[in-house]
Amino acid sequence: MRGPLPNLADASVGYRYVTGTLLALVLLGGAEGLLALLLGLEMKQVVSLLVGSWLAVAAAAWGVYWVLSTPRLASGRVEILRQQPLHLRRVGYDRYFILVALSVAFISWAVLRLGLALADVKLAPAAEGAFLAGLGLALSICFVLLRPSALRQIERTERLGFVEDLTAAPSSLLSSALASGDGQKMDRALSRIGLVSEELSHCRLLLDVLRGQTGNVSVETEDAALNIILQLNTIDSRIRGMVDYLDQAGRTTMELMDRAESRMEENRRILRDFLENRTMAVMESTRQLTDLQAMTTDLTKVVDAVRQVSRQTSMLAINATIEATRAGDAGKGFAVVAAEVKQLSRNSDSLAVTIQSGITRLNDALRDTMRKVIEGRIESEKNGLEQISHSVTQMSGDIRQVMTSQRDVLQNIHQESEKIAAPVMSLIGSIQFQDITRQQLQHVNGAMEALQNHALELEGYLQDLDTDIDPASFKHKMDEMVDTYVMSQQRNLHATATGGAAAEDKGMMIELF
Amino acid sequence: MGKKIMIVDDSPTILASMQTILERAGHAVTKASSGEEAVGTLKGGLKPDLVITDYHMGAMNGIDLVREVRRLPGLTFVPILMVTTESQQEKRTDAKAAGATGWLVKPVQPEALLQVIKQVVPGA
Repeated sequence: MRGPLPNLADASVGYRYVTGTLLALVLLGGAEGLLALLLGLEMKQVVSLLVGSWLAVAAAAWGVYWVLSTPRLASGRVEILRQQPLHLRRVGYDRYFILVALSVAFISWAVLRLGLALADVKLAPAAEGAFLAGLGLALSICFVLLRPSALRQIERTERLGFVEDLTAAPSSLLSSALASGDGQKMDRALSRIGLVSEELSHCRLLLDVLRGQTGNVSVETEDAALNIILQLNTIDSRIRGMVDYLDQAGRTTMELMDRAESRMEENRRILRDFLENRTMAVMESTRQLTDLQAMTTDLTKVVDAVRQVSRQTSMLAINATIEATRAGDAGKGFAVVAAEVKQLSRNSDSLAVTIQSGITRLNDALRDTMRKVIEGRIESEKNGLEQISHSVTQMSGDIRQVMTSQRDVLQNIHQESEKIAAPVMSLIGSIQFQDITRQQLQHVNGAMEALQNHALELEGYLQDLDTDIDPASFKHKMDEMVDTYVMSQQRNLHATATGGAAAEDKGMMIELF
Repeated sequence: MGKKIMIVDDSPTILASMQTILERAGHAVTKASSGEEAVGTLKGGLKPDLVITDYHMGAMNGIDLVREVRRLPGLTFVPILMVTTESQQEKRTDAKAAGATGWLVKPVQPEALLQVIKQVVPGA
């Protein structure tokens, strides 16, 4: 018979029960006798009192024995009690015993009354009181004597209940094995218990491995996370360094551009001045040419004058010849002179003509050649200088373009670098996930540790039937786990898995009080 | 303007991450990996403009630390922010009752953290 009540089929308990009852009877008799003496009762009354009470107590005790020995009657109450945790079961047992004791007392007293009435004996109220007191004393002694073994029985059946849970077999095998007292079935049950015990020790080893691995994950992810932060820091400083360098480069470019601009401007000015000077020099040459031309004009005038003189001289000679002819012989000499003078003037005239044509030719040559040379030179110089100036302007424009595009490129790179900096910073923030992972793993680790300890306890249960510990069920352990949860995510997962209510995730991510 | 900030957390990852974020923004950072270490540093004379602390740490948790800090001279009104994974509403109320200035749930975005600092620390 199983149950939290004293197993009276058990020899030791039955023995105790009988001994207790006898002892109670003796004490009862002694107490009543003492009281009777004190109260000065009559012998007849005392005897009838004693007999009556003994009968009552014996009857009640036998009645209780009979009740408790009946499995069917007891089992109903057993089931209810068995579902309670241990400390409640102890209370249950106590209460049950008190109930039984009171019933015994009442029945005894009733039987006494009946007996006395049948024997036609009057009993003093004091005697009745003494009887009840004595009875109470006897029952208390029974209670005290029986309680330890009864509680051990409770725990034993508790353990047996656990073993059934473990084997996951319907309650039939073990309970029927134990109830029937069948040796073979008991052996099988015990070997199963041994097997389960061994499995539990393997389970503990497996949990050790798992715990080691989860612990390792925590450590390794922490190292990795710190490393990532370090690398991101390096990237960030490099980017900043590059941006600073680009800023500096941009500034330098601007300076170079300004300087180039002013250089170009200066070059243009020099060219302009040069051109102006050349123009002036050319104008000077032109003026010189004009002077030369004026001089030749003057020369021409002089030649004209000479020709004029020679013409006049020729006229004179002609006249002289005519006169000479008039003069006859005297004039012959004169005529010769006149003829020579005429010849002379003719010569000088032709010479003057020659000179004149020479001057004219020179003039023309001067004019044409010099003009050609000067103007040609002016033109080609002008062209050349203009080309130079043009190229210089173009070059200036090109340089400006190059530098502008360079500055734009630098600005672009600058912007892109700043864009990279933002995700890098965000990434550094995201690394915090590692801490959350660590906390979750810690919880898992803690749960596995609890599981390990529980398995160890169970091993003890199975191996040593005298081991005395508190057998909280897995469910209680899981309820305890919930209390240690920190994150709502953990609570929700737990609730989903166990079918409980999900925790409400109230509250904002950031709250200022 | 850069402020002096003390961060308390038992996770080196969180400390490194927050230090980077805050120092990039120009603040000076002091780290402590436990409540006791933080109290020691504060008693040694450090007067931060802000304290940021985790909730679940070793023997002295965040709320105990808040109470301890509030007791120290000169730090009764220093803003203290709790940065934690804890999600229970009761714990938030406890923190408020103990004197915390704000409550942030991990993980915290860098921009959000810097914004909050601007709000609770005068002159930041």
